[in-house]
Amino acid sequence: MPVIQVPSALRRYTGQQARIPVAGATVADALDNLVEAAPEMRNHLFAAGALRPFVLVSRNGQDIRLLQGLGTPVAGDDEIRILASIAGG
Amino acid sequence: MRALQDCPPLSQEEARRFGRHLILPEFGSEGQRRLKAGSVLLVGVGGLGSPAALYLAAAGVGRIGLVDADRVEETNLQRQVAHGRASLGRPKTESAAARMRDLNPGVSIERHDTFLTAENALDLIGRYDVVIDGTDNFPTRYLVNDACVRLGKPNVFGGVLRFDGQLSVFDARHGPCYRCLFPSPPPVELAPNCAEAGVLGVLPGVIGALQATEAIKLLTGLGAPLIGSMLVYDGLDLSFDRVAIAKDPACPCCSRPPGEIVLKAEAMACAAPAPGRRIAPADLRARLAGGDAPLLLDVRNPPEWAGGIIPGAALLPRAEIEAALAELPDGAAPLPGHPLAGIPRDREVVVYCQGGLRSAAVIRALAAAGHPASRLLDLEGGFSAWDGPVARPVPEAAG
Repeated sequence: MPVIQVPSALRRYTGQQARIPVAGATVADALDNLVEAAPEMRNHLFAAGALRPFVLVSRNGQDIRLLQGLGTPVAGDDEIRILASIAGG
Repeated sequence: MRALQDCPPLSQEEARRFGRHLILPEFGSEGQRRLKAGSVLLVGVGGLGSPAALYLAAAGVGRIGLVDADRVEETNLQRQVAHGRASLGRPKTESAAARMRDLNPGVSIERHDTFLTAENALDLIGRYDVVIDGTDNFPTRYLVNDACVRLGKPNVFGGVLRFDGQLSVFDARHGPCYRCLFPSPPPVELAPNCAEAGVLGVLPGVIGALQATEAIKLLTGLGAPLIGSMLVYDGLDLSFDRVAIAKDPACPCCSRPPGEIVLKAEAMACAAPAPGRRIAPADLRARLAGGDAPLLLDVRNPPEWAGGIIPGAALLPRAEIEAALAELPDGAAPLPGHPLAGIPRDREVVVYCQGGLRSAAVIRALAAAGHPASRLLDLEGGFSAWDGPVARPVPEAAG
């Protein structure tokens, strides 16, 4: 089952879990299942059905914009990573 | 990378001092000469800028610029290792420059005791070969990016929060820029900073040292700079992962001809217009002196209170307020004993944080929970802009 890697700033919505196994055939399916289990995450990730402009999602180390966007297929042990822009310095 | 004939030779003392570099076959005296001829601008001399400044000075970069208008505070010392107790209250650029000169008196250090602005960014960045973005806020990060794209300069980006770090080299001539990845910043309420969310002290040490490494590589031509990849560091499971990133052909910045890029201060947009009113520090000072005092609510975190509060302020961090609001039934007033019972609905409340971002978020949350927006006032500029009396030591927290 694909696994979603959650950045530490968003783990308060996942019970501090960093890696969440999710079902789904595409990145969109997997993220839908994630926000169903962690509803407060939705506002951080999506606005009007699209990924927010300060969130980057990758599959197996590649920005999904280089693949098929939210329609990028996932299977097996694929890793989906959520990256939120951070400004701390 | 500079042509070798444009790089001055090394003195005998320099050849001795940098012997461990010279003995690296890939580096050699050529690499050291390129460093000596090179220049780096550090935007921010805080958590990321501290290790970067020290290592770049120690490594023999010829000219280093420091941009920061802040002064050293006690809460900085948990991670900002270029500064020390003896520098408390002094400009960060002064404190860092002294440490850098001690490490390497041969380095030319240029202090710019100012914040980077849309007005000065092109002039400052234009004077250096490489920029290290070690700022602590989104508006300045977008400004650094846009100015670097316009000028064709490499921007060594680093960001830290809690236990996470990010690193990349943005050079729009050869790869994506920051806006290709993140076209615009998050709204205030979704963008916690280190003061709110915390940061492991050593984390900026890890990322800042890597930024210095990338700057040295860019100046010397060593190795492959981290262009087209974002390095993601997770300090909790000690993992370094790379994410391949690419130029966005529709990027709002680097898809345009550089000459058409207009620098502007990126506003930290709010998801919804902030309700309530604003009050200028001078007006608040007058009201406090005149006996017409509203309730003051300081929504910063306890370590920030240690640096001083406005006398009489109730102390309740933003995170606690939001957690308490989440437990209240919709529109219900808090009962006695509830953490929010100390915030009256029948009296004016002036909310403040350090810079004005968190207070706006709290006002929005209180108004959404039924607090009359007309009685909520946001202190303009936050505690940073407060020039009235300051109380110490810290009283007991309200609620």
